[in-house]
Amino acid sequence: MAKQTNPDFLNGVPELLILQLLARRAMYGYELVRAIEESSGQVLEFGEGCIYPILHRLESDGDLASRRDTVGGRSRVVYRLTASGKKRLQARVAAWRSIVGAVDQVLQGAKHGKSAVS
Amino acid sequence: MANRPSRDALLAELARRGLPPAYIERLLGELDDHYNDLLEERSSSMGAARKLDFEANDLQECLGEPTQLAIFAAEQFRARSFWGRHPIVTFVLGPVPFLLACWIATLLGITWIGMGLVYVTEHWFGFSQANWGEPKDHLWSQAIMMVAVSWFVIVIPPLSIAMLLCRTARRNAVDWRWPIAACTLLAIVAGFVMVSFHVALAPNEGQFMVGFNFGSSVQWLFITYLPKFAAAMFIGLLLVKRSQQKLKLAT
Repeated sequence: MAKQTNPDFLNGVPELLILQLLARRAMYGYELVRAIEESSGQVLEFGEGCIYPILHRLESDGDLASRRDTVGGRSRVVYRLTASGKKRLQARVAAWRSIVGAVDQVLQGAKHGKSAVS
Repeated sequence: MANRPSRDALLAELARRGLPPAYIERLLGELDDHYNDLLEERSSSMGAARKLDFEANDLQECLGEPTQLAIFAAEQFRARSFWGRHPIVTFVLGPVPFLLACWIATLLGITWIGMGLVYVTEHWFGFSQANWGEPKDHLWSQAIMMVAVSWFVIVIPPLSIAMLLCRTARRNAVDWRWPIAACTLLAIVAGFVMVSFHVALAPNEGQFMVGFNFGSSVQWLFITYLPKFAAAMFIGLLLVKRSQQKLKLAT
């Protein structure tokens, strides 16, 4: 069965991962997909084609810049993070951490008794 | 995405969702590159027969099913602009305020142009009211001018807003039902607009009025309102159709 293009639970996550990976170095689409797979230990999977519409939107928002470059003997569109993208990444990381922290608190039952799962 | 059936299916789905040709071309180009990278990677770790099998079967699994991918691409494309992200604001809440603003701007523009012309003829060319003679000597020119201005006031603002909204819909890959809704709202309001004028027989006697006419009789509905609404709606639908054709031709 085909991978879902962007499952609901992944909303916003590919964008965060793209920004984070591009903050390390400029990459092209295929490289990014492989980097996400490797960095997440093959846990995060989505339709690989969905990376391009996200890249195009981030570029149109001014968070990424692209240019055609020759990599490995082939012409590719290579993306890099812009200054505005760095700010967006910081905001997204902060938002993500606060969500993860909040969910964690709920799972651990901080105020309302013991956790249901041990 | 060199696999022909999938590529064609994706192209058709993207075009059906009104995405601009340049965007489609770019997306398909990058998917082609991605597909070639996938093939290269797999062919280095498998035999030629398995590679062909991969071409036929695994493409959709890796890149995503064409319809889903097209839906996602259209969502992301719309998310680029405020107008695309908020179609209710743009095409339902926006048209009437846009139209009122355009009417005010048009009336102010006409008034200022008129005042400017009077100033120029008086101060630059030395014409005074006495040179023009009595207003009753120019009844036809007054009437022609009033009719022209009336048409300009009634037709140009809603037409401009409808054209602008159709263009916005086309550029943001918004579903065509949105600009149709916007044109319907514009036609409803445009149907109420009324212009009345009296030509001047003596100085300072002329009159030009623009306003909304809300009648309640059946006669008003069928003779005054509905013909205006139908004409405006017809023009609006023509604009939507023209916009769709432009996009199809470009694709």
